[in-house]
Amino acid sequence: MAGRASNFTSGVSELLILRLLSEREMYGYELAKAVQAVTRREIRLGEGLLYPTLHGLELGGLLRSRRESVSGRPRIYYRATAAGRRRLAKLTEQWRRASAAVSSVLGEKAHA
Amino acid sequence: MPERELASLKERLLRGGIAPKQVERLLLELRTHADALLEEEISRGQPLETARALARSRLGSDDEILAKALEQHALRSWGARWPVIVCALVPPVGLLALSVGAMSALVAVASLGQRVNHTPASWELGVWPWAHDGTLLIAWLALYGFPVLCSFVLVRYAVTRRLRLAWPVVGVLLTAALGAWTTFTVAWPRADGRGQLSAGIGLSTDWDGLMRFGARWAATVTLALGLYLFLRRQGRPVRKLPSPSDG
Repeated sequence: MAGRASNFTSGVSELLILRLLSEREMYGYELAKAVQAVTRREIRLGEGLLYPTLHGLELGGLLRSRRESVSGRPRIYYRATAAGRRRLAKLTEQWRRASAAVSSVLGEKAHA
Repeated sequence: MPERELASLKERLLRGGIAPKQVERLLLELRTHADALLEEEISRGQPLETARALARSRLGSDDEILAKALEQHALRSWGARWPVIVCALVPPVGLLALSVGAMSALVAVASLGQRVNHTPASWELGVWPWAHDGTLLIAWLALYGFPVLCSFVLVRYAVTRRLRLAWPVVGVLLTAALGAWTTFTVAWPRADGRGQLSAGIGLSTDWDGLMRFGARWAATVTLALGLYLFLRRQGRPVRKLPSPSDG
């Protein structure tokens, strides 16, 4: 059960990244800003922690990247692949079910 | 992000088994991201030192970044994932493949020498000297060069990935033993047409050659471990220097 709980929370960053990168391609800094914006700063992760996740997702075939130099600085843009979109759909479904289950438990407690 | 911190993080990532290619890319993106954060904080009117501290804090601590990287199994090098296979099995198998390749090249060179040239009847062997010398060179490479080459490649691989010493050493010992044990035999046709070109690769069963085996094995092991120690000394991690606040 501990493993499942851990997966439940660690899957959040993967879900957010896939969701945002399925809309349009972004580079790391831009993605960090987008995460803050869509979560209204409720989820505050070390911004540097995005990169290991991005690289892992890319190696898993869920993201694709391209490199570009902007004002002499290298920028790596990421976007979701078809496999990434399928994974996003699966994660979204899992998250909705889990979220509904937790809401249901909290709702029952509130009425008890 | 200061270079000293990046160097320290790099070392920790490598020791954690993250592949060097992934480490370089991660550091490149962290450096770029840190610069962008610093500019953002300065544009908000923060003094430089405060901006630096805020940017560093927003990026996350080394421990957090390291932990997140280690969570990603795909970022780990093959040597970190399968040390026995990569360090102890691949080099001897690679040496075997190189030796078989060398034997094929040897036969090809000798056959070519035999077909292209009509050798004078006065010659003892039925091939031209260039073919004879070429095959000798290939045989020499296979017997002495390839075991050292395979051991060097393994040692360099292990050092750049900060692998623990045990399996690379086993790999070097096995590769050196296989190299020292291997024999090549070539039988040349004679100029008068008697005999045929034949070549073979095998393992020595001649116990009189035990000293020769020992010398070749020891030479390969010494060279490889010498290179290992040299590279370890060259790539010694940057020690974290005390910061001014440490007093």
